[in-house]
Amino acid sequence: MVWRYAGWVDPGKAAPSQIRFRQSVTALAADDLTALRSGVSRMVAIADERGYEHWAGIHGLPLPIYCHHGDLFFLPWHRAYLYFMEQYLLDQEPAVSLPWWDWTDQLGIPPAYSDPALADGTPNPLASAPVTGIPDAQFTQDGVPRVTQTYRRPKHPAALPSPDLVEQILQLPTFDDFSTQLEGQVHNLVHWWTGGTMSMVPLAAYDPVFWAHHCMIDRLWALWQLRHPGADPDPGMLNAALAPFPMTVAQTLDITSLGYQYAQVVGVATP
Amino acid sequence: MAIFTSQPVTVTLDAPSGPFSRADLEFHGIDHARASYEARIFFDNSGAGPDTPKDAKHGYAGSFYVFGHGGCAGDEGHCEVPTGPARPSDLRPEHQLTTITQRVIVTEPMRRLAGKRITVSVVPVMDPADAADLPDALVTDLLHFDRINVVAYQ
Repeated sequence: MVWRYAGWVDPGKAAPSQIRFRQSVTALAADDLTALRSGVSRMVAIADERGYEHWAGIHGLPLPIYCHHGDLFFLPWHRAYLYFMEQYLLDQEPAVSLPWWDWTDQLGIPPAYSDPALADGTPNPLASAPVTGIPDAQFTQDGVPRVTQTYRRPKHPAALPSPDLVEQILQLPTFDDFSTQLEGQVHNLVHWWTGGTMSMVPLAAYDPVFWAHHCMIDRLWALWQLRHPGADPDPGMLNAALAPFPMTVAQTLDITSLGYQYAQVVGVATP
Repeated sequence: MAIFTSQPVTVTLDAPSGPFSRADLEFHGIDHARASYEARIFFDNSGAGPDTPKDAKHGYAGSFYVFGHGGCAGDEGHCEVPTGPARPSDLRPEHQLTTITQRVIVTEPMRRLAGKRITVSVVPVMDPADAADLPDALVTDLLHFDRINVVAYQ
């Protein structure tokens, strides 16, 4: 039995067609990208706990700030975060999945996220999102600036993580080492590289590219898990809750049980 | 408009002398309360600064990156990290501003200096345009850590 948000289910009853395939943002078909933009736009228009503002705010402002950085809950917490946000995205667009931005290959903000406007001239909802729902009092004199929209200041593409660096990290055999290196050498670098609101913990998740960046981080963890089966977090962590989500570390370890994968069956042969 | 004025920190340490398959610098007690930045590590180049090339000729050994917390958004005391032991029954997660540890793999640069006493200069780097968006308190005197451990793997 594996855990699902709606209760305990037998994974054997989950049809393969129910497993969502998270794709590279550069491989999205036009319809997929349209659905993603539609889903994000619909979430932005919702002001309650189903909306974009609510989900962006869980990572940073408004207080409390729930995200985990600099500790070994970094990967499980963000996997849970993406999972629940994606559920609300699916409520708006049932065929959508969060895509990943492979910064080792797509050297710069992907055009799907950087084009300021769509073909019909309307603003691209993935280029920038409103920063709303934060009380004035939480924009303090010595804190992050009050902004109404996310913005970026990307640096030179050569400064993004290299394939060699990522490969070196994927070879590390322990979860502690892998998580620490992936966070400090790669994840933090991309936040810093993107600049603007993405470089500020309290506001980063309001930027739509945040989700594509973290989907790539989650993908690398999934790839690392395939290379190092059983190399899980310390057993003492597994029953820890990942507030505010109704999920423990153990429940993040199998992405198939969470209903998604980063690979899909592309051919079948029978004898 | 804030101007980025964080200074490098230079320490001395002994590079491992015996054979090793991997060498790390572990930075303990890193403050991440303010802006995001890159910390560039240079060996035997105490004059290194933000414009120093990131290559072996100039002693560049690697970087770590800090994802900055962006100051305090709460009332007085909100961002004070508790000191002393936690109550045994306190199941809350660690304070958001608890200092962090970063580990930088420096195997090849350390091999070139094996057995020698070396200086390690850590240079904080921010994009001036990003710094200009932030209040002085977030971009001044950014780089703080408690200690560096040299870790060698046989």
